[in-house]
Amino acid sequence: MKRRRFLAGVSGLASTGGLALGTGAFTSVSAERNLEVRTAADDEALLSLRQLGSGERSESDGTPGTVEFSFPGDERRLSNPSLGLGTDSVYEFDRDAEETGQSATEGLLRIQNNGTQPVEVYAEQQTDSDLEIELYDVTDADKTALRDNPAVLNVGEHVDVGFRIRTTGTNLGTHDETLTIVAEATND
Amino acid sequence: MGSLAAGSAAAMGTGAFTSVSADRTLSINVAGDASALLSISKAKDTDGNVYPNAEEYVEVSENEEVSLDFTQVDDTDGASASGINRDAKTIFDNLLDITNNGTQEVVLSVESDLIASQGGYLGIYAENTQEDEDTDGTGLSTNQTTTLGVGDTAANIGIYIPKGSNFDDISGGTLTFVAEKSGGNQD
Repeated sequence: MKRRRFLAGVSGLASTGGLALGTGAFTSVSAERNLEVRTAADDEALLSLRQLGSGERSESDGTPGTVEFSFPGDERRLSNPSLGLGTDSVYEFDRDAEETGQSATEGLLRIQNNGTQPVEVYAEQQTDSDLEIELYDVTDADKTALRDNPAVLNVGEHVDVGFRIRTTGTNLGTHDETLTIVAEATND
Repeated sequence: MGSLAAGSAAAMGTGAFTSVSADRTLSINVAGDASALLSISKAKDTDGNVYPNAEEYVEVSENEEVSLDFTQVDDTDGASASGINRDAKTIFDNLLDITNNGTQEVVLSVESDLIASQGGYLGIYAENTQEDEDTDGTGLSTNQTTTLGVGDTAANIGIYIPKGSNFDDISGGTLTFVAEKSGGNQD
């Protein structure tokens, strides 16, 4: 009886079991830690996106730069604004507009894995315009879309891609589309 | 309460990433057939006038897409017709001009199950390939490709329906014009 009174007097919390928080009890903590991250231009990023060719159908926008594409290429659209892709058609662009002849650079975009693990690369698109855009490996004779057969890139490897654009059911005019390029680490 | 911030930064590792998803923009201009990279338009003569056959049989939709309609003829003199003759060879010259507005030389061909050599009943030709016509005895051209340099036109494309075509085989469908860069897929 004497003992119980003593415990109750000193601290209502000091009972055996659950509420013993030990020697580090605190009500709240707010601990600031630093995190450093830096964005890089597309061609220097972990997933490197580098335009190929002479910059007719592609350009680097902003600082740091991200790649953008234009079909037809910029200069042609300036000199002939009504020029465009025909409707209900499938167009394949495997290189830039100025790249012709034996020494032509193939591919419009080089996707390179600058990370430390192998990755699978493909592209996805959400659109309201009925335009369908696919990427394909320009060295693949079947030109299979990456989304049907993702490119597997080991560390440092790249894939050079062309664009396949389907205009089935598309309206006339200029369409600004977003293509999402995805790289996912493969599960070894 | 005083800063509890520790000194060490949680720096990014040496470059491993689990996934990256990068949104990138494309600007695409879609045009009517007359202004397309492979343009398809009513055939015109050297003075720039549309040929009568093109005027009559080539239709252009609201979406500026070309189609061919041989089902009805309304003559300006008041006469009209509702179809082609049976058991006759019928030729329609000067329907379409197809121009390569791209940046490389291409080989132009037509794919269609309406074409005799592909299981159908009709023939299709461009004026500048008639000299190279390679017939197999039926009078149908089996060489249905023509090479177009940048800016070149396959002019005065026409259609013919040979005599003896089975009446029941004659129906509408789709013609697919294919232009592939010269040298095809051999990289």
